[in-house]
Amino acid sequence: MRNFFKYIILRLVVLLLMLFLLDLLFTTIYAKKKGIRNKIEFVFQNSAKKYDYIFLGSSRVEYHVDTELIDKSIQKKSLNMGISGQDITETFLLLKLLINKNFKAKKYFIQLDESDFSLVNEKSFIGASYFMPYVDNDEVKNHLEKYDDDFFLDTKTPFYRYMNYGYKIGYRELLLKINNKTRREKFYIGLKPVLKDNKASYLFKDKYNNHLLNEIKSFAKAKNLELVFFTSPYYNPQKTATYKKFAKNNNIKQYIDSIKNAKYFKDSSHLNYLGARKFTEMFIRDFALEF
Amino acid sequence: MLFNSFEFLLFLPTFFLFYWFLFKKLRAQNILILVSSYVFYGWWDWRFLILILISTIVDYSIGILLDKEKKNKKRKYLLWVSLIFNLGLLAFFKYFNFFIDNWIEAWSSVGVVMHKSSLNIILPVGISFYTFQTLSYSIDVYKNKLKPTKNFIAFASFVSFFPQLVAGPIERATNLLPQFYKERTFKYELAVSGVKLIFWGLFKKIVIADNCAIYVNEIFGTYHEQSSLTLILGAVYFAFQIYGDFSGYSDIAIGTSRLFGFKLMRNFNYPYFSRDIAEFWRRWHISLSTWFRDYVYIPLGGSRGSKWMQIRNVFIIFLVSGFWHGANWTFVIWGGLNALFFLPLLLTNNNRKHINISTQNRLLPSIKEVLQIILTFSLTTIAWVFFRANTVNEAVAYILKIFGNQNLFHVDYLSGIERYSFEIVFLIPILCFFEWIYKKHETPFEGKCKRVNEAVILILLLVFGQFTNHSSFIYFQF
Repeated sequence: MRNFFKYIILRLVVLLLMLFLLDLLFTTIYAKKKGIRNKIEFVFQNSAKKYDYIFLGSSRVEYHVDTELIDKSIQKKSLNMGISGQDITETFLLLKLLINKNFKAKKYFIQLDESDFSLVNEKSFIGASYFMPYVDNDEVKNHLEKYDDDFFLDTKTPFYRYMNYGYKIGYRELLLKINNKTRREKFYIGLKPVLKDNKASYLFKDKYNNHLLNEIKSFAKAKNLELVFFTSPYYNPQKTATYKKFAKNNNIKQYIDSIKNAKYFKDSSHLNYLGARKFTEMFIRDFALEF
Repeated sequence: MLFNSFEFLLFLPTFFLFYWFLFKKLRAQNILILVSSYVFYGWWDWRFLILILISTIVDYSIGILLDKEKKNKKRKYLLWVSLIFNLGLLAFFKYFNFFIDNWIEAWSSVGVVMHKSSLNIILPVGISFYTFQTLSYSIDVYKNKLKPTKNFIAFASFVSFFPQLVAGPIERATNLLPQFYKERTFKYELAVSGVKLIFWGLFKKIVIADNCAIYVNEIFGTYHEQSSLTLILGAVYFAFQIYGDFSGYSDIAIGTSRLFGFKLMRNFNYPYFSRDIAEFWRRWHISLSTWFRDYVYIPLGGSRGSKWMQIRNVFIIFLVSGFWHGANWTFVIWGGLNALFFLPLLLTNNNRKHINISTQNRLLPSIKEVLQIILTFSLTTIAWVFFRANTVNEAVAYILKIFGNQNLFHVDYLSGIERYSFEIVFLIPILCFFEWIYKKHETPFEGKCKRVNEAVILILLLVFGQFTNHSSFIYFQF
């Protein structure tokens, strides 16, 4: 038995060593290699930039807000910082980083999904993977400590972050980074597919809380930022009354049922590029009307 | 509880320490196995523990009654009770809705409309495996191949033994049950070989199968939009997905058992190096193939009798084996296709031509062997399309699209979405390389360069392993 324990311990030591080395390799490449693969890298590799509008949120910003159209139509400078899979806690962190790195905008538009107000666990960081190579940054570390349930594993366990969030910062992303595969600077991505199922729908919940929203508002007040909150369209949303009331009470401009035709959607919660264009035009019109 | 889960990572060492340091007596160890196995299974759904318990009690009692009963007629009745009970459980939980659906469809084809009030039956994980294991016990006792046990704890532990409870290997009572009677002592070599098997199994599951699954799901989900080459790749990837998934599970199960002094039968023996379908079936899911051979094929007459009888027996065994995998015609057709591929070998008396592994004493195969291996792999891959597809129509459409596609060689799933990258293109050859070079061994961690291989596989596991998207093992659904 003693020999067996020796055998196991030796392998555990090798495993640990390997984890350290891999962590060092991945982190160094992400930190040192120039070229922008995602929006978090964009923030870390730049500073002191000025915009008229910066849009933050999930894929429902990334795929919905055609910033090129905004810039062309109203001669403004805008930036789409939506990240697929991102929720309210991560959007909040990205906002903090932007301020920290002196990215200035006249208005920050923050897209919040109805699911952001009904999170079962407000400390889950499933979509925030792109932040993980930067856990040594104070802003990121402090935010994760407050909002990430897996803070210890994510920040103190070597290579865990690259295994756990492999989907976004694993070897695929690393190889693309090494091969200098960069992304478009404006970051907006238009989706092509058209929703095939006309009977698709999006069911809203019946309970919401504004706890995290109030924290973002307090942060904005302290930093003297002008934030505008909005919710993008859904296809065939169901049972929306509670959310509409919640949005009104919390000053969230909601577009949830503003687009109805299936030809503008990719699925029940994502517009395709046609829908994005329509939605952005709607947005531009509303700027003139309301803001 | 999944082998590739965090829970199991805690469960296994805890069980190991309790087993060897706190529960040193045989009876105490068996009780620990029993309780831990029930916890392991109950982690998925504790309600179905009752099924395992009832199955255990029924076959344990039948074993004792068979031993007491001397009259052949009554012994036969007792065997029928076991058969009806075990197969009845399987029929109800696995096939009830399938039979109802087909019954209604059959009537509707002659104009009689029937309305279905379907039952929402959940398929208990592993039911196909443990019912076959207990059935083999009753049949062996009936045939006087095995003395029935009077030790209920040992028998219950045998039925529910957690490493192989949910997806095999389907152990024979004659091999596994006696191991519960004998004092078990810790053996270094056995335990180390177990660790190596677990490690190799994890590589096959987390690196090969789970990475293939990403592409397979994408390609099979959008097969109507894909080019010929993409569809071929999709089928090949599935062949490796199911191999990595199931043989990986078996390796982990066998390796885990060895940590506790148990020896389970080998379930896979490099099947994709087979030179014909008959050899493939001697190397693929060996515990199931031999189960059907011993309890269905041989009682039917096996290879004795006329050629027609032999053909009938081969078709029965493959069709039943297909149906065992799931309540869907796709599995039956998969079985039927394998029977068809087997047929030429049977008719030419070549079905036992390749008994040993190919190129046993050579590194490189001959051109003839390479062609044989490629042909066998291609045939099994065509059959896998039916295994993977949701319906027979979908499988047929998938295969027709391969041949009737204008866009023959354009691999479009690799472009467009960056997420779909290229790792499988070299991970599969790495697997094949290690298996080919070390085919005389169980894993590449024996023989030459074993330390280097351990390091290489560890790096591949950490870098290419799917740790968050880990899927359940495919064979859990059977």
